[in-house]
Amino acid sequence: MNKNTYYLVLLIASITLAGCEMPKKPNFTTSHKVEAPILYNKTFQFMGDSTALIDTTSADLDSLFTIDGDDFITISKEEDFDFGDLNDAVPEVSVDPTSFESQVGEIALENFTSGSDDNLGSADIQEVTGNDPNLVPAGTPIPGGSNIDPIEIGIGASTDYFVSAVIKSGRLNLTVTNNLGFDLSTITIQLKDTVSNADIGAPASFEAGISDNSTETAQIAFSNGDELANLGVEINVSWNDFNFPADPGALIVDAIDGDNLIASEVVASIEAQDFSTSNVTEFDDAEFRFEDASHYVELESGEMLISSIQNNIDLDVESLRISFPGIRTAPYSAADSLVIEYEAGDIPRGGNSSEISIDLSDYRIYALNNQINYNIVALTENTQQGSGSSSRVISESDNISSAVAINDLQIKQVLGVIVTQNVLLGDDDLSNGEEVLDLFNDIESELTEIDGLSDLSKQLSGLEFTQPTLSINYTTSVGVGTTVYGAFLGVDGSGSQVFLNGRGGSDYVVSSTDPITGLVSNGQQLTPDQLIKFDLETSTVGGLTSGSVLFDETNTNVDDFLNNLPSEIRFIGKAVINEDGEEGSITTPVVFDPKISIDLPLAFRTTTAATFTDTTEQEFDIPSSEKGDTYSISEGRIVIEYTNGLPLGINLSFGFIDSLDNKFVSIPIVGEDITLNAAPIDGTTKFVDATTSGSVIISLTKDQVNQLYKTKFMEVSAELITTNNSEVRLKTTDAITLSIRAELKIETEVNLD
Amino acid sequence: MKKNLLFILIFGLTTTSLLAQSRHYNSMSLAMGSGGTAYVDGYHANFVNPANLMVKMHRPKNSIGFAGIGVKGGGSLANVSVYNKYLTTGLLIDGEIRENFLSEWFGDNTSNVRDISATFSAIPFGVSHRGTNSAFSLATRVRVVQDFSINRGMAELATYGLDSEIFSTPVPVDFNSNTVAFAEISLGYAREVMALPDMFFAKNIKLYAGVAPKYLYGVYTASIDFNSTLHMQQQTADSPFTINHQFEYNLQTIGELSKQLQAYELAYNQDNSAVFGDYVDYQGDDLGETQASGFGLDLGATLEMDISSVPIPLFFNKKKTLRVSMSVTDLGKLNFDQSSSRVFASGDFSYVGAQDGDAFDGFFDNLADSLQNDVYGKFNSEKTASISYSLPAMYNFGTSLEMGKLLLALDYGFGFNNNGTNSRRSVMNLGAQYKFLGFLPVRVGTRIGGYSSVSYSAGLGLDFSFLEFTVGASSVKNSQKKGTAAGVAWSGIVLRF
Repeated sequence: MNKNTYYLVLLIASITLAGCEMPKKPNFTTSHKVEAPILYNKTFQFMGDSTALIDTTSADLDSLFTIDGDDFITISKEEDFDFGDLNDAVPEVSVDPTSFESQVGEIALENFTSGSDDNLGSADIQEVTGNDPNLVPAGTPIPGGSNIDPIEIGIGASTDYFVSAVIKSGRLNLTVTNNLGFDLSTITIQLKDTVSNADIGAPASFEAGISDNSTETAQIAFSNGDELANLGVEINVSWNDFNFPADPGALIVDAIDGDNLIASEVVASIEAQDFSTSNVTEFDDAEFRFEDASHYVELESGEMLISSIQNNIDLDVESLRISFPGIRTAPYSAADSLVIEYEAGDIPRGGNSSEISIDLSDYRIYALNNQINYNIVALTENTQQGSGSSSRVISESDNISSAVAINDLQIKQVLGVIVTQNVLLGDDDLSNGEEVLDLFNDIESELTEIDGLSDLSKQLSGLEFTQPTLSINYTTSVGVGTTVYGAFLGVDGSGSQVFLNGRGGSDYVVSSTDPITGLVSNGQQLTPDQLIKFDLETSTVGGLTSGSVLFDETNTNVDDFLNNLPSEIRFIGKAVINEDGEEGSITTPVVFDPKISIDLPLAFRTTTAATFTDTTEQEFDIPSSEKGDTYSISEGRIVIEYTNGLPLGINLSFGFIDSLDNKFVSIPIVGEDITLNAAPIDGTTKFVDATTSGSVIISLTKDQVNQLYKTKFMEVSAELITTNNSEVRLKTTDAITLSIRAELKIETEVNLD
Repeated sequence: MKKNLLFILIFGLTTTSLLAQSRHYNSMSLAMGSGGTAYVDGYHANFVNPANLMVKMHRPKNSIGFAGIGVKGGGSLANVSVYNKYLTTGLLIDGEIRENFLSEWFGDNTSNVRDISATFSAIPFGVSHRGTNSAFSLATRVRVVQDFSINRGMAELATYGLDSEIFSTPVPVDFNSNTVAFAEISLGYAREVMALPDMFFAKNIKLYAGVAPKYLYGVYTASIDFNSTLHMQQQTADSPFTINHQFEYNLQTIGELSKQLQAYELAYNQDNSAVFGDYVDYQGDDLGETQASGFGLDLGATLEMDISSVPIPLFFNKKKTLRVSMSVTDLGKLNFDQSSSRVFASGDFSYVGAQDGDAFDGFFDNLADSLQNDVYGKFNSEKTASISYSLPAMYNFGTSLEMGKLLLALDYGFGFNNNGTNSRRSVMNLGAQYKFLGFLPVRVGTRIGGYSSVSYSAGLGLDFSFLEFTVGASSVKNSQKKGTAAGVAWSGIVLRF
């Protein structure tokens, strides 16, 4: 072979290999179907355990539903409804401080002397008859006659208890003994001021005279203003014929004693003087009236303060007793009244006592006609202590004085007539006016969210419950008639507002004449049709009473109110206490524990589809060619086969929302729907009486699936339609059976170019 | 666990690129269509036709070679034609395209099996001496043989996924894999057994016979045979979504891996929370150790004659030598008896998914866990006496005609089994070599039949009488019918003296 042959063979060999089949770079896309069941023949009872559509055993819902004997369901929710307390219903009581003064008053004069011998002064027979016994022999007949000159006897030296007195009334008993030795047929004695020689009082006259060796007493009457001082007597006598006695004695002034002798002022040593005073202090009747003797205010706390007692008498106060018959401690009989006593030495003459504070806790005050009576009884010292006793200057106007204050009264319980008053239910924000409550002032308004309903409200609209009720259940210790005027405003998740008001002439209707003002909404006075009123039960004294106010569709617009599915309920109100002015009681602390209870029996209808919408955070880690994945889902289908035993048709739609809140995919597209048809119902009971079966397919196109990776939120919207849009009733045992499967086509691109 | 199990199940795949065919080849025979029964000489003859030790191919009597290697593989699973048609043009493998793709690849029957086989062959050392009447040789060879096959059902599972429409009727889903690595030490002997001076147009007729017993040295074997039926039922209102998989698998292996699997099985039976990965972590540390031994035999005969008198155009004046050969190769088997074991499981797995509202992806997690732990991972094991491996025995018939610098060859053969690239399907090989200047061989050839579609080959290099350094390669022009095949070989360094 030549060279050309070599090249030819080499060329053939090269062509042989070059012509052989060589694999190229891969460039293809696979399509795999992935199919998985999500649910098979799974029956979801409407309500029940964790396998049910509504897990009533969950913490959020375990108290939301109640079931009656027919398994008929009611959404029941009770929330604390702190729409203010009624503490302001407790009347505020006060007693004005009062001062008192107790004067000595009339001064009684009885004893004038400390001596025990009966001889204040005397006159002998010569001073009486002018016959000197030394000159006249015994037996000498003496003719009848009278004394020529008045017989004067000074007795001042012998009345050591007495210095002087200004007499207001009374008499002085004058005792005289005749030892002259003959009978005196008449005798007249005039009390005299031995210094001024002025007569004092009327003369004492012994009309029958005084026989020999006998003692007689006559009275000297005084006029108001007579002054006793420098005491002496002037005596005039007469006698019949007698024989001059052998041993003549004397005419003796034995004693002088006061007989109801009252002085307005004395300088003397005097016996103990008692004096007393009764007084009243006023109990404020602005908020509480004691109209019956049984009415009282029982104090949680309080203080009585008796100021220092000023003794303006020239005598020590031996004892002092201040009693308050209407202030009593348990068991509150008259014998249990408050008494304050001072002992000897506590109130010295011309001095002061110590201040006294009395704790009035648990005392009751009985103050008929809102007056508190008190009595003061005092006894002075007795200065007649025998010979040498000092004289005191005492005027009837001399007194002791002090003041009584009852402070800081905190009420435990009252029984009486509580004056009608308006009590704010809630705090008063003064920025919008005093005693003006605004629904949208969060300080003043009570805002209540009904758990469960709040979520429903945000997610569901268009459902019309047919038998809803709202009740206010409370426990109260208020024993007086109370009427609550308030505004309940229900606001749903979208801001729609409905006021609760009375309907059909019920007692809950507020009229324009009702005594209520100051309830506003955003500054605008609420009209009566935006208000509702209701009375509270009254409790027994000191007890608790439970009451309930039921708002149903016959007496209120609660159907409109609750069908709005309020996510929040705002309340402002005022309570009118004792509007009728009747007797009642209040015990502190005032218990007023209201709860608001909502009952939504699951009997409802939909005139238009009720829409349930829920948006949740949701991300899908789904491959997409848009983000450069080499594999992607080209088709997605969710096949739902159902047997519906619920009286609700469900029309589903889904929205996929990106981080910018743009809804970039909606399923189904306009004109299509994903509907699970409702089960038929019994026309009478409104309960489901059969099931409906069918299937729906939720399809996702490649373009839609390709975008799902952008999802940040997923909006699920379900239009609920009752069977034939008529009223239906749900039972716990109503159920839907679902079989759900998902089918995906996954495309994987392999391309090494 | 999944990782390790996967490793075990598809071990062979990872070695596929190192494999070749059953009839021994060197760079010359590969380039000439993978024949060689009547022209491969020297120590290579030990493995093709020991009688050729006596053949005089214008080379010195002695030869010694180092590091000859070759890789060849292919099969119906390696269908480059289908691959190029469907997987390189940007097609979406879906719908009708997917169906056509599978039909062209596997045929229409879901039971149809397609396989890929490969053999890596290396001759670290060989030496031969050709005497006047007899010849000797000593050669070592290392072979790694891999078979892997799947059926159409498996391919459907891979391409469709869990599609209840496709698997609405039971579909067989099978695969198997077998890997064997072993070494041979072959001692060849050949002699002239008959000589005839003339017969018809032939002169100097000689018949050589040769035999090459060999000691077999097993290194590694692992085989998995997985047969199953997959049936899926689409979810309807009346029936749940169901996956039913009736399966049976049998994994045979030896050595450390075998011990680890047995330890896991024992632990699992005591406590089903045992974790696969805690027990099975095969690192291949025992590779190289003697795991099996056995004996094999290659034998053959070659009739050589001078037919220079036959007038052949272009070669009228050239010496023409015709050789007709016949051999039986790779008789014998290996017994892997070191810690051999069998891991097997069978079951009827039925899975009804996610009835409790599990998340969509949870379904697959549950399914995977269930499969891994309780189904496919729950197996039994037993020690076995040994694992036998029959060598890819083959009958070979070949002729070669040497005319001056041109060598033409034709081979025919068939395998006694289908191990490796061996095939019971008959194979015919045609090859030609022209040596320019006596030392620049250009070789071409083709193979028809056997384990793949028609392949074409070529080779070149330097082939002096004292030194050879040549390479060869083969490939398939159109693999659509029987799959592709490809191979490369390097002569290594061969010295002759």
